[in-house]
Amino acid sequence: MNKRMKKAVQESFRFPETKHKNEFLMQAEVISAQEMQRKKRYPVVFRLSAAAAACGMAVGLWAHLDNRSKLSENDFRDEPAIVTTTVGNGENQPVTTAIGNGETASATTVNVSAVTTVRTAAAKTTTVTSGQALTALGARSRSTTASRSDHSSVTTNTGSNSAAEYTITNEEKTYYMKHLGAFTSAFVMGGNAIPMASAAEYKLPYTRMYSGESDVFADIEANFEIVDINDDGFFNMRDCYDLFCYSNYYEVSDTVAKKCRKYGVSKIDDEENDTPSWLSYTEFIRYFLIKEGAKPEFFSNESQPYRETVNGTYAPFASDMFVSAVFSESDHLMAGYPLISAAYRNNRIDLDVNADGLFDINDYIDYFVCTTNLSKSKQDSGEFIPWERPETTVQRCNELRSEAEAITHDNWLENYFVWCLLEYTPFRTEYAEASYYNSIIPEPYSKYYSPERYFEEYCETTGIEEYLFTFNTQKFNSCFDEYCKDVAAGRRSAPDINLDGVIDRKDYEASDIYFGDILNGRNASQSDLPSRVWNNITSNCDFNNNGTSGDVYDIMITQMYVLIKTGESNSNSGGSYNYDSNMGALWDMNTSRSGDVNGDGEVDMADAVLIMQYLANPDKYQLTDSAMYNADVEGDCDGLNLNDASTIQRRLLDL
Amino acid sequence: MSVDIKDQYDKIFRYCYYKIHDRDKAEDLTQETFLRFLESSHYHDMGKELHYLYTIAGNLCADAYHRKKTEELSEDMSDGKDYEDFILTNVALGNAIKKLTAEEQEIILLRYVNEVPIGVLSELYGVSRFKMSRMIKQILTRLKKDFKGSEG
Repeated sequence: MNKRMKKAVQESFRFPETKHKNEFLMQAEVISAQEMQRKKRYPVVFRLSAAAAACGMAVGLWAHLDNRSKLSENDFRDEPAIVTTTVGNGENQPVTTAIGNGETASATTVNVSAVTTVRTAAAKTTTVTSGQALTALGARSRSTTASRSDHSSVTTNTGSNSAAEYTITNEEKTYYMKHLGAFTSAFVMGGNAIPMASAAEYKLPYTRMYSGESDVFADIEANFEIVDINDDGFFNMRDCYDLFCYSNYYEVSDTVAKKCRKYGVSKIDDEENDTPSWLSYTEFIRYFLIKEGAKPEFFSNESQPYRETVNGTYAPFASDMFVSAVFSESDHLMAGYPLISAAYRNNRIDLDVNADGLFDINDYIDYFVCTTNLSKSKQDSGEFIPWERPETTVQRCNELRSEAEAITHDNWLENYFVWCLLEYTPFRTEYAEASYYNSIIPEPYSKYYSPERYFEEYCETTGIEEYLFTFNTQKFNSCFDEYCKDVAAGRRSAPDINLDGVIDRKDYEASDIYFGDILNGRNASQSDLPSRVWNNITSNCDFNNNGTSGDVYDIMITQMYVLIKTGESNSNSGGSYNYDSNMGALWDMNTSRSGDVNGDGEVDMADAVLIMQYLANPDKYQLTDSAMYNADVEGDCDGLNLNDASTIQRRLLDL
Repeated sequence: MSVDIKDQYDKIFRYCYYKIHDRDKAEDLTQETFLRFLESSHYHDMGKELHYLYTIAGNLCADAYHRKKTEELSEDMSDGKDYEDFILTNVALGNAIKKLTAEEQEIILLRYVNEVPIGVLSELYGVSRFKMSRMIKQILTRLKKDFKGSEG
């Protein structure tokens, strides 16, 4: 079909426009994400076990196939399947096959001077029967070779008074097929299980540690012999419980008591003690909540054995007291989210508060509005005008609140709601913007509600804001300056992010690749970087000490440091890292391409970041024509590339 | 092959609209098609998403068509006889297409408007790829002949 005809056919059809496409696509995106999330729920252990079992089976079969030389007497791999034995007078008797059931078949002449003997599963069978012909040899030729039936039977008319029946078992003939089939099945099963496991990763999005608490945790990990209070070889929640019982005058085993006395564990009434700060049940509990996340068994008093107080006075059961302590620390750490997430997955709570069949941003808005209305109704709210929600929605919100509080014993459900939304539905940047909610909450009421604040909080604490929203030049200046001073004083290590032992251009390039991966939503397995480099960036490269390793500040610090390090030979600045003082150099340049990409009137790191964002994801980070013009500072109008960002960085460093 | 819902939404809508000639109902059926598709995740890994989508849409349209036949006609409901005139804008080619059978028209729509691959079409109609190619070729030859005849 020529193109004109095809175009004419296409243009001949005219269809009306759809009305609700965009609304539906938004909801479909949510459903699709939830479906993906549902797939992740298979336990990692199960998947890995399935993969390991399947691979083991495959390897076993393969080894078995190689080593087993002969199965039984029925295995005739080294012999012909059909053995002929001469019978009769040894004369050859030409035979023409008959045609059975009126079907046509090619007439075949066979020499039946011999009787065919075929090995079966039980014994060798030789059958020569007399009688009339039944089936022609050629009429069902497939039955002798490819049939799945256990036995193939062929009877030939000898043309005289006898017929020879050939019985051939196919069991042994499919020896290789069956084993290779099983091997292939196991291999495919194993292959399918492995990627499922990698998709099941979960990470607690937020913790609230005390300053310096990471040092306490490091001490705990460095003193494993001591923190294993009950000497069972494991450091787990039972050690917390034993330490709790000892500190609160509950019965403990002799081993525990002896060890606690040895290391001077204080009891609650002790006024003075020299116990190290890390040797306390509170820190142990916090350690497990942060390192392992909130697990249901931590909060179950059935997990803890019965203990009484040693002084005989009446006191609540130790397990109840201990669980209360765990809930208390969980409340402080906002660590109850895994419980809420698990409850949602197990249908113990229903986050679809508006009952439209879909858990999405509208449920969060309804819950937020209902909660705000409730809290305002309990206080003098002044000119507050509530946006009334349907009675059923309010009721469902109240039920959800009480159910969640019963699970986590805290009041962080608004936060958990947002985290759940972000875990089970796609993240949209507009969720953190007030304008998005102004279009949903009607005009007279919108000013009284700020549902975006929990999203802002989430973005701020998890570093998402730094990836997606803003780059603060002043903040960068300050942290870069501090970092360089620390490195010079030997307090911190240089940004060798690719772990090759030297600070060079490769670190710069690795940071570029990582930055592009982050902006495009790629993970470690999808990145071009080796996984150990990726993991190093995400876990050990928090150069600005904001709690997030591998954010945009860490990337920029790496790049600027590498430029300083590699550009020292060209610079007489004496290793100066305070590029703010060198800003004048840029303005003295005789060029119309200023490098001011974001149009704020200044050339700074934010412009370099914007170029890198544009190059990594041009659909998301779009530049105007003038910004593109100003950004192309390197080369002869050859378009934007990473050298332009690098050139701006070099100019800022006066390199 | 993974289906991009954004791309396929309009195509499935056209298919539904072509089948039942009612915009609102066609959009409802389109959305119902995608909801059913998304809920049945086990089909996603089979590499036949497009086939599955069109099968769901076709079945839903058939159900809607049967239901529609049993409903009473309302006053503002069009009789549906001239829907091709509405859909087909090119008069000469439209006349040629109208001479095709319903199945042939549907194949043309799917192949050249919705750009459904031959492989998927052959599975939808339960014929081999070669037969589907021959069918399309025959339809086009007839279409071309009629088109030139009406122009001349």
